[in-house]
Amino acid sequence: MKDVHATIKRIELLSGNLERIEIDTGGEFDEILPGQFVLARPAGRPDPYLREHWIPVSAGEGTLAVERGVDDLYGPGQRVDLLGPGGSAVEILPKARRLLLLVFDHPPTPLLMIADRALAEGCAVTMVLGGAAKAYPLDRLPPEIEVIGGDDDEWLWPDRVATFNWADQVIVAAGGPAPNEIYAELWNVVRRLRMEVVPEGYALGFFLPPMPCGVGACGACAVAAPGGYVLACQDGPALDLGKVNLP
Amino acid sequence: MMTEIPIGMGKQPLILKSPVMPAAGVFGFGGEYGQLVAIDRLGAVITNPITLAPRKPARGPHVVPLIGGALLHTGLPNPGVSAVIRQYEARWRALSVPLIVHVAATTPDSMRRCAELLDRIEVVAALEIGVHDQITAGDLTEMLKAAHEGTLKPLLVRLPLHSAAALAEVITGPEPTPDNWLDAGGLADALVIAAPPRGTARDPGTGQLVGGRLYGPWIKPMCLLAVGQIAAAVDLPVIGCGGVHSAQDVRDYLEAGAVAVQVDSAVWVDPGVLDAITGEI
Repeated sequence: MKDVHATIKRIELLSGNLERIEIDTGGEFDEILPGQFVLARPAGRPDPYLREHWIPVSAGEGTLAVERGVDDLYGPGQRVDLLGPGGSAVEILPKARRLLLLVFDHPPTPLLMIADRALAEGCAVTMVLGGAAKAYPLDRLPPEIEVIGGDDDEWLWPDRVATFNWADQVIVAAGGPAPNEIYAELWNVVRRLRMEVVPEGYALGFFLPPMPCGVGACGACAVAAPGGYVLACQDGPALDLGKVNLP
Repeated sequence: MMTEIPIGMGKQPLILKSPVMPAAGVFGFGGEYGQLVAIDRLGAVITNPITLAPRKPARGPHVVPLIGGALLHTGLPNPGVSAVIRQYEARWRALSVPLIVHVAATTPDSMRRCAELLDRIEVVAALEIGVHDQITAGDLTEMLKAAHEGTLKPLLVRLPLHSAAALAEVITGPEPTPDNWLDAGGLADALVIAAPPRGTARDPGTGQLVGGRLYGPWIKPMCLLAVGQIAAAVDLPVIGCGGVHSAQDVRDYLEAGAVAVQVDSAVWVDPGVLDAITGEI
């Protein structure tokens, strides 16, 4: 964990409400792993007060690339404070050859480095985009990924059961006001299809609440779990859906 | 060069070698910021609030961003005092500065039991007692008496901002004598002024109104006023807390009468702020 002053090199508009930011980090975060994050805030400004979590879409050769909603907080040449890398890397299960990535009302950003890793390891990757995620520009996704368009409003897509039966591992990123309800529905489907025997790490969900500290100190990102709680900034942000309390 | 700051004369005094320390609730249970902060330059480390029984996180949103600050409603998640001791005692022993455990008990009995368990842990230098915002003077007195029954370690009491002055008078009371030590004075060895004030704000993600504690530099003028008034009125050491974001903020609290200062949410915004402050003070 380190606190780094970095500089924005370039900003590219990806769609009407999504931009890609490339940051010169001097190589400080070249080793960040899929699923990990940095906490960012504009240097020398009072607002936003708390840092925003950025899960990179790529890292290497001194550059960190992230995608985030468009606003006027950042511009080329601007200094940013980055704290990280935080959280735990997402592990693709050792025997997984078919990875199902589900995105609903959230950009697929948290899943892109995971997809790259899975493809590099020879896995087949299918991504379902539902709700607001359907607005994501598909030309930004690796062509090897099979993309399925989901429903605009509900957690549905063609051949839903078949895709679950196909997958060796499922990773989901849900947004909107109640992502936990989506995770709960997903978990119930997985349990039914797997006859209640779900391997550890089979179904992961991204928990991305505000993280004031990012180092496991403040407890603000605590997620209730059997026997207590886990911290999204330490144990996550991708958490095993079988190990957290869902509604 | 600062002189040592003793707290808790006559028992097992807490000696602060710096007037700067993180506040309860921002720095974890011990060592979480070890890679980012020069802990040996702090006066002490204060744990997150610990309760007798484990506590799960609050339901609903835990953080509401505000202009220049934030509202937090965490529910004080912690695994309970016994589990905290098991998990963190080794880390506490490795700290190079005194450790203060913040106890957030809800009843005198749970306070006594927490104090008894922590009294056995040599590395715990003092307890900081956190109380709920609506506590009465009578309930606070009972809570502090219970803490004294459980431990001889120095007791710091963190008071709610809105009632800090009135409660401070009760805690200090008349001049203590050997016969009335627990009933008049002697209930606490230092006052922490103050706990982050409470507020309500709408969470932009869910649209819900959320109640919680407020953090940000704009808290400081309110807490600074209270510190000045209370430090002038009582004989106990006062530790200032609220909105500190710079060495000048610390100087302001010391000038107002505080003997030491706790830094809260500024640590989240910029962990380097503690090193910057301790380097200047």
